[in-house]
Amino acid sequence: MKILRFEGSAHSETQRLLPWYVNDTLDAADFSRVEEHLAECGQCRRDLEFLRLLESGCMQASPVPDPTASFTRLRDRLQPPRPHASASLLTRLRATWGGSPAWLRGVAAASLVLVAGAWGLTLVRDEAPAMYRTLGDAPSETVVRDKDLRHLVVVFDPHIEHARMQQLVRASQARIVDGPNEAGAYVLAVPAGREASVREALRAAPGVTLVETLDADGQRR
Amino acid sequence: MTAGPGIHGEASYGDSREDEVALMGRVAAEQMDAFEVLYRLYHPKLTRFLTGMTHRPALVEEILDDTMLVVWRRAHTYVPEAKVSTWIFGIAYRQALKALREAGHDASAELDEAPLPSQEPAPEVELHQRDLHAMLDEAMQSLSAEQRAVIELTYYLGYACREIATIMGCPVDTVKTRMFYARRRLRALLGANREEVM
Repeated sequence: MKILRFEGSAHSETQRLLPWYVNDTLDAADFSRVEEHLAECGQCRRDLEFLRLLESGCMQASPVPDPTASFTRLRDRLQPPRPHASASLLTRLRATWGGSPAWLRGVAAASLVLVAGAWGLTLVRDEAPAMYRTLGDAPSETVVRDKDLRHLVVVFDPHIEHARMQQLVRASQARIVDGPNEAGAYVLAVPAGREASVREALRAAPGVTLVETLDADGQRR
Repeated sequence: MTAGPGIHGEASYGDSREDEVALMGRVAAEQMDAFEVLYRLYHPKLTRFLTGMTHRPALVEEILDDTMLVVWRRAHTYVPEAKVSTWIFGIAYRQALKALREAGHDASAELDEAPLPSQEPAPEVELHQRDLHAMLDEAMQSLSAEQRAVIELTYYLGYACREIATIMGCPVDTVKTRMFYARRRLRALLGANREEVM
């Protein structure tokens, strides 16, 4: 798109400001400038009429949906129903996360840190990897030493569709190099230069519960 | 509590900008009751904005959910110097662009230089005999999502140009350019009856 420069004559200046003259958000100086020009310019007055028509069309009320059902659905995504006793550690953490007191959430967070930390330690020590592995991935011991890669611990929403999960991984230019472990966490390898942007993008993405950087020394940050 | 700067067409929600900032503080502390208040406050405005911007009703609910999910997760990053509404609509705008891209729609299609429709007057049709809103809705479909966003933010939500630039994450001149092309195209499309209305 070619960006237009709106500088110069009083006419072009008014054309530039007119849309916001109509919605009454100009400052006093711009407001006066527009008023002055409108008094002597028929074209700008016609434009003004059109913009007022546009505004009146936009301002017409739309049906207001009841947010109750959609809020309930969203809240359930944030606070899933309490699981059965046999549910995984991750599920139990998630269930207690949103509605529990801060100290309890701290305990839950610490548990997850330990899980991820222990896992990272496993990778670094060349010990046997986590009990679950993805198919076709290179051995994580090799990958974790690659200086051009960084590693993220990612926990997906248990209800996420497989296709959506793959889409997120592909969009991040990442590879799953380990996981899931018992807590449902994966290790993703991403190009070093993209670590921060991928981490933020995944954190913002629906269907992702937790994203943390995993250093080669197994520390999360 | 406000849910926009001037919220055209509907009453504002009440108290003050400070209330919204305080509410955001409670959301950042993960208080679900505060989040529900915020959600109910913004749901109608976001629904309208996203419907107007995307013109794809099937996507709106999902984008709105994603927007509020980000608000919940990122509330601690909100800086009180900015308006809460500007922050939330900025998230909604980016989520909408993302959803449109994923759905295979080019949100920023270059419509600026596209040929304008014929301006031959359509006989026997007068603007004031038709539903202006319906006509406008139809004409808006020919704009890019970004151009529609500028129109909605200006004339439904009542934002100043500079605030729109903040929401869309672009320079002020880009907002003015989008508005320029959008209104030129709308005027041409609605021009069948231009003598009556312009």
